[in-house]
Amino acid sequence: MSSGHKEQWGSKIGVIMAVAGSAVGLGNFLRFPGKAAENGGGAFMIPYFVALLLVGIPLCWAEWSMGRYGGRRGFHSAPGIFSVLWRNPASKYLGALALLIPLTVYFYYIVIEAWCLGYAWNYLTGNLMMGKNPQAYKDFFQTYTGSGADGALFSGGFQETLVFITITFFMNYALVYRGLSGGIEKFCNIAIPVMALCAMCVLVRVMTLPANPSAPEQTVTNGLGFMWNPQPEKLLNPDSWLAAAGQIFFTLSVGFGVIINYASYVKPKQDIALSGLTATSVNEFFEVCLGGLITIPAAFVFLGATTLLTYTSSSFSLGFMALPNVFAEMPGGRIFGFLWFFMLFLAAITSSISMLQPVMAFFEEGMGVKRLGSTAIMLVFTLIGTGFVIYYSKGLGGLDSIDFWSGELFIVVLALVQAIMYGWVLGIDKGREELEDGAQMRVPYFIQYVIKFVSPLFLICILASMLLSRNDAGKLKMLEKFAQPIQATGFYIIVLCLLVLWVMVFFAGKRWKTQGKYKDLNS
Amino acid sequence: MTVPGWIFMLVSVGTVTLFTAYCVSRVLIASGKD
Repeated sequence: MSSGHKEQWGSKIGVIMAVAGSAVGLGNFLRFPGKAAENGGGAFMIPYFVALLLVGIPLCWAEWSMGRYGGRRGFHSAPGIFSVLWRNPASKYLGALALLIPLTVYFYYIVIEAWCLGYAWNYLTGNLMMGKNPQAYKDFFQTYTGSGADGALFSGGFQETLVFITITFFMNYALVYRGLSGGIEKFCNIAIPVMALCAMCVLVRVMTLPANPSAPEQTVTNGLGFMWNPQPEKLLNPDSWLAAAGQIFFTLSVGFGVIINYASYVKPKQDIALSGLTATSVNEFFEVCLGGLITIPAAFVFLGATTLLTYTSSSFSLGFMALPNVFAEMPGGRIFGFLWFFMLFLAAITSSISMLQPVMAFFEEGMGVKRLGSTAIMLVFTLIGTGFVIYYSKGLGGLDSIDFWSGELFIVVLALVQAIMYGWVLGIDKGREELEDGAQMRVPYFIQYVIKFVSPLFLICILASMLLSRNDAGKLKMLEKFAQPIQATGFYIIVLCLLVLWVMVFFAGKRWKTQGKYKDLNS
Repeated sequence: MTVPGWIFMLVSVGTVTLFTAYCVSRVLIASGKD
């Protein structure tokens, strides 16, 4: 490797924990319950599991296979891996998409991560125990995030949010600087069990809550009913199916560019089939069994169905405005509030460090810099991008724009590119060979056909529905985005990042050619 | 909570829990053999 040393995972469990840590994030606890409650309750699980089986798991396996395939041939970054899979000069530029997404999603994810740490701190100090006063928590959130006006966090005076953003930045870079097995793996090995423990504590507390004395019908059982009672008629609405597919993407980190990079460090004969499935199932456990049982029932007991409905459409509203009301009224709410937000912080940091690694791996193998150099370059990139998100905070516009373009649109594009790369370029026979080499489980052959035909078709449908959906006035929603300056600016920033990455990829390609890396592939 | 609600919840949560436990135990057993 150009950085002078060959990185590898320390153990089988380590890579599973790291991939699961990357996948388990805020979406498991805040996005999933809201989406399920809105899109059919228990019935939502039908399209959800269909999407998991038809797109989620097959694409995870495809990413794991392509990653190890590239890693065996000396490449760990997506541009390098893509150029191994498809011996065409254009392939490495397509691979740049798998750098763009983690890089730009990091711009805003680190900010949300800092809010979680900040909220945990404020529970510990008691500042967030403001009694039954929904407006107080909305005001706190607005002040904390600066969502009242652009530049609010730079308006002078002490800004606690900026302190926590600085702390989370430092923690992220300290962990990734320590390397793959010494930093990321070691941290995930501790963080995942701690997260599970925190979530279990909160789950036990929620399940043993008494009925609300002022509204006896607001019980935990009825809260579970609010989340799980099936509304089969919602299954006739295509939006429910799209919401389920979108949730699967979001939750599994499929199309994020992370798994392909992480899998490239797996030892040549090490299992990837069972590892991939285990990482996926651990993520599902956090989402369905913990996220699905905690958030909505707790909020229902204290807020009731009518108020709760006003919060479910937004993860931020549910997590940062609704739940503080709940903890304020819950016996032992201060400690459970701390545990909850600390768990969210751990979920966020295990994801955010996974976004840094793929891009830093590219800087190291593409530009020949060492870990310190790649850390410094990445720090400059992310400080600029996060600066944009923090400054354009009015209505969280900067965050929302990057999230839409990168976190919703481009991940589907990358997932489609990866499905085609695996199914049509590498080929399902070679892909199957790679997946089954060292495998500790048999993967049914029809999965290969699913990756080749079903997954791309499914992804094209999702992409088409995103690009072609219209508003009530009959205008394309996508074009409407450009009418909003902040959304357009977010798009241009992402395009600018892509252009910069393409320039770097161009020079990396020249470097790999000079080093004779491609010659080795031909021999 | 309705009976179908209980069924959907228990089947979903139960299946995911058992499947996760199965996968993790297989990985742990395989790691022990190495």
